[in-house]
Amino acid sequence: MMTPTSPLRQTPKMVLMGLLVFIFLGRLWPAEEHIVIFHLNDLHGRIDPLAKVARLVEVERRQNPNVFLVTAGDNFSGNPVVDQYRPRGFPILDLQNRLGFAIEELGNHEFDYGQQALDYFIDQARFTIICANLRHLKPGGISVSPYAIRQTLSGTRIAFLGLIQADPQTKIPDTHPANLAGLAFDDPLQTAIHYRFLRQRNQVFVALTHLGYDLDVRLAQELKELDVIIGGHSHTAIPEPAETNGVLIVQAGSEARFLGRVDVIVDGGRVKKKTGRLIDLQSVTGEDAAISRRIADFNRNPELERILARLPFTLEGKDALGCLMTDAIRKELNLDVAFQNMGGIRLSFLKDPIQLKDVFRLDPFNNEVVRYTLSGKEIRRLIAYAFERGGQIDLQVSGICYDVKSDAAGKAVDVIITAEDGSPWDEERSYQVGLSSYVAATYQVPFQDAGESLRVRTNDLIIRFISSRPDWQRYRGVIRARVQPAVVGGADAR
Amino acid sequence: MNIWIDDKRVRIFKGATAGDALRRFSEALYRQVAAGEKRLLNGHGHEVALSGELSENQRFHTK
Repeated sequence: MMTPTSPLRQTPKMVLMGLLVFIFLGRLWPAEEHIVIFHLNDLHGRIDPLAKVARLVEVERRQNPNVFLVTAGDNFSGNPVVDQYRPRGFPILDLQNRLGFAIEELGNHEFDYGQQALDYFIDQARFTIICANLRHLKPGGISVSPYAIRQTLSGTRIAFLGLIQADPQTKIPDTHPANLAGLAFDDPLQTAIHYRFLRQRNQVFVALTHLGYDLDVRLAQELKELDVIIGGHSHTAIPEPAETNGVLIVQAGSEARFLGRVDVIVDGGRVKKKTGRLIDLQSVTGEDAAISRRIADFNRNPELERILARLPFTLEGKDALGCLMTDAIRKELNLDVAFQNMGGIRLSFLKDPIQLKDVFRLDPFNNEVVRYTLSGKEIRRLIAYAFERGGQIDLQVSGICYDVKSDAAGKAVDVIITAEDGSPWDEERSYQVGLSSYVAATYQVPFQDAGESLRVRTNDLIIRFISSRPDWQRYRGVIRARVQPAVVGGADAR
Repeated sequence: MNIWIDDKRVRIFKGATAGDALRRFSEALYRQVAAGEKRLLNGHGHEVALSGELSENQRFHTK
């Protein structure tokens, strides 16, 4: 008969303890484990390729249990089907859930719909949303984790650390500041250093970032403990990723042109090999049928049929439409003057009723408003420059009216500016002027002020303005920009 | 903000995209990149989409 202390009774305990020691020392790690991380970034509402992504990921999942799908942010903003859905951005949320995303890092455009919409997104997401350098200035608000851990079937731990860009001067991500009330953003590189400990506790250490490629390189230089950086923000396509300081840096372009794939081989609890590549989704033919049907449903967004306003008459001509568009920019943003180039007015009339989709036909380019502080002389130079580009009126305007006197060669010899009501205009003061980002980028007029995007789209402002039921009679036959051929030899050029 | 394209400085508004900066630099080059005839590469030789967001003193080349 065995006593309670007999060696034979102790044998199972010893075996168990030995087993624990083996596990602790890592000797029971599988000889070699293959982890696949698929990654996307900067979708900007482009949902159509996700049926192909779903198929590719599903095929891989059938062969390998250790497959993770992640995104490096900026999945909102850029496609009216997604942006105008109710709730806003819902197609992205729904499709991410259906595709089985594991983790998302916040991008700056995730804040574009406001924190209430983001809070809903986070609440409904069946994946983890991370961002380590986001801080709350007051209790409550959106809730995200600094990092997330995922495990393979055999217990290999993968840490994903989330980091978002913050403008070096304003210290906030590139979205409208009103969307970030109550939030602060720490320097992403300094923040990353605090999470060095993740290396010790996990076999694979990944930074999932929305910093842009240049900052990803600096992150790799500062935090050599990382195995991989999966990036976004700069829309960089890296078909053959290289290592910096031993860290593999990958990014998959933008708008799902590519699906990124990282293969990590873990051997004995350590990363033995890591490689990355891009899958060109344009060359992929297979689609997940159910996801494809879901995307087709979203593309028939009924919200786009919504009536914004009833018109008492058909608004005809680019003068009237240009005045409407520039009034929207000026009035919604409390600016003094706003300009819109003729080429950016893509309809020749608006008729009753105005539906949401009409605004995206009128102004389809998703230009943002760029604000400048300009002198009267600079405004005059801008108008003259725009006229001389094509020898005709090119800028529609709100806040002022103008007449260009031209010579036979199409040169603007004078620009006469008045207030909208015809009263004199003060050329000596400075004005807050809104230009579309297209005009700001392409019109080569040297301004003292370098300008700043206000992070609002012109078409969003037009929706708001039209919905506010403006006085439509203002636009009947309105002309604020005219050209007057100068009398030969009589031009009084300024 | 200042961006460098083909080693020339481009002064562009804050919040501009890579496409805005390229347009400021050369409308013709912008059209070529948009049409896929040329590529916009970052300082490390990786292709960048015209919608890519910028940071101060970023460098690009066209090829």
